[in-house]
Amino acid sequence: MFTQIKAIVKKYLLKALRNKMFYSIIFISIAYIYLVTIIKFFDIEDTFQFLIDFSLSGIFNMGVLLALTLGVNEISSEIKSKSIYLSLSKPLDRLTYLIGKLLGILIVLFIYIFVIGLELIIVISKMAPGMILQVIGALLLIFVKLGIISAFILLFSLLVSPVINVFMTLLVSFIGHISINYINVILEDSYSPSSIMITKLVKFIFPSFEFFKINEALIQYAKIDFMYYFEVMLYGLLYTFFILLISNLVFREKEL
Amino acid sequence: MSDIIIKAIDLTKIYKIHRFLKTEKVLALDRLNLEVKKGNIYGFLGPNGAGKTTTIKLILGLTPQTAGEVFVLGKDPRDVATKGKIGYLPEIAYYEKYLRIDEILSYYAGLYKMDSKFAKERIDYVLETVGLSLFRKRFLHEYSKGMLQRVGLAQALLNDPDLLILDEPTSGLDPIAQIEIRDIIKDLAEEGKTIFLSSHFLSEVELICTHVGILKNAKLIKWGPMGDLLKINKFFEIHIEANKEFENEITGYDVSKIRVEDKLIVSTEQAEFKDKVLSIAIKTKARILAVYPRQDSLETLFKKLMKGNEDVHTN
Repeated sequence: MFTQIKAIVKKYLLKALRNKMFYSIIFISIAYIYLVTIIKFFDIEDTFQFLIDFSLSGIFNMGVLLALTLGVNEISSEIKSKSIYLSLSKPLDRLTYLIGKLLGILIVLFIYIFVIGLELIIVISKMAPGMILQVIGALLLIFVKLGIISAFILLFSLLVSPVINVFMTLLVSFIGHISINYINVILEDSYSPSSIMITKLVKFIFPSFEFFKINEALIQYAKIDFMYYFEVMLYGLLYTFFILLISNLVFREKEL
Repeated sequence: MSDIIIKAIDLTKIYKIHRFLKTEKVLALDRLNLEVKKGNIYGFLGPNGAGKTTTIKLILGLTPQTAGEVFVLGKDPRDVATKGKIGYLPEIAYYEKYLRIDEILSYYAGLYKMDSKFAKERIDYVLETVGLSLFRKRFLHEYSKGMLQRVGLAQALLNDPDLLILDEPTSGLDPIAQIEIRDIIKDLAEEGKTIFLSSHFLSEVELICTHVGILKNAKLIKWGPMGDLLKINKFFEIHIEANKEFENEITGYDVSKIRVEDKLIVSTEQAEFKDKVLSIAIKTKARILAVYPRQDSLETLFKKLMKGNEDVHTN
């Protein structure tokens, strides 16, 4: 299984690294972070807040764009071109195939986060050297969040067309970012049983990306406990694995 | 291991096509019964849409059957270990064009769980076999269709398979390449590999296949050893320098006549009519030029089957 995953990941990386879009997104992201760092406010805390807010959200949004660019067509194009027949006619389990694809996307995203994160850390090291570890933690949480998004992209690529995949992925991202407090307010204010049920269902099914957002703590120079990172990352990994298992069920029943 | 490599029992496939507010069912394969034995080169024929590709997909475990059973090397084709003994060449070369030939082959070798040293040896061997060893560093988008077909054959041979499934192996190739691929297939058969071959080139199937199965409208309508199938349609061809008296005399007999220049070619499937035609020729002093025992070519047989409702097989 390891040899097979390695082969799938290697092929995916060759494809991604020979894709001009990958370099374009990296270049645009580097330029974006640079632009964010040159904007200065009168108050240094405002500048730091602006830097944290805009750089982290920018890194996440460009990461989603990269995941969509490299993942949205990944399986659907192989099904359409029938090149998937060649892979699946080999002694390859469909779950292994999906794991290989997801790992490929994750490695590309890791390279992206590493390059852009390095640029951000250089800036932070000059502005607030004590916050470097916390920023690295925030970048890791973005990476795990992008992992969940990538798992959704793969799942949707088995079910819908690439255009609808983009739309659904953005919808998941949007719903996932709705604050839990806001959902609780909706639940308290709602008198309709059906709307309460739907809201609870949404809260239960969709990922809670709010856990991954630690901007507030960073802005206030607060130290975040290691266990918090660990628990959120574990949540992200389990959620990604759960989506992968659903994808496998869909894939096993899919007519090729 | 059993002698039977592929066995299909009442294998049926119905595709569901989802349209707006309704689902349409399409019968792609209707109760297929098939047996391919070890060492056979089995030619699988049929017009477009007859169910050939569906059968191949079922044999490869790529799609689930609606009813019936299929066994490959004695096991369910979805069994992962079984797939390790199968080589598959698809009809159209669907390869990622951004890869080089050695990269794509190393990818497939990885899927066969080969370690890198063994994979390199096998890649060298298959590239030599299909005549691509000089082009291994070239990107796939630089290849012609014929070259890509060779790449397809190379990846199908990577695992030294017991069963080779070839879907239109010579499609799009020039005549020389067709002969070369045909020779490779023959060599593989001589090595004892079982080959299941789908093709539109009937002459090619006739040349290399030991057994044949013909599909029509999702049903297998004719199957058996190639020699036996062609023997069913044996007939005699008598070439005569005919005169008017001869032509008048044979009118009413169950024979077919074709005039080629000053020669009349009389054909009959029955030996008694052949004798009768010959005795009439002697009686009317028509000159007998030649008598040939003939049998239908696969092409003629195929044409007849596609026109008629024949349902014959030999064992």
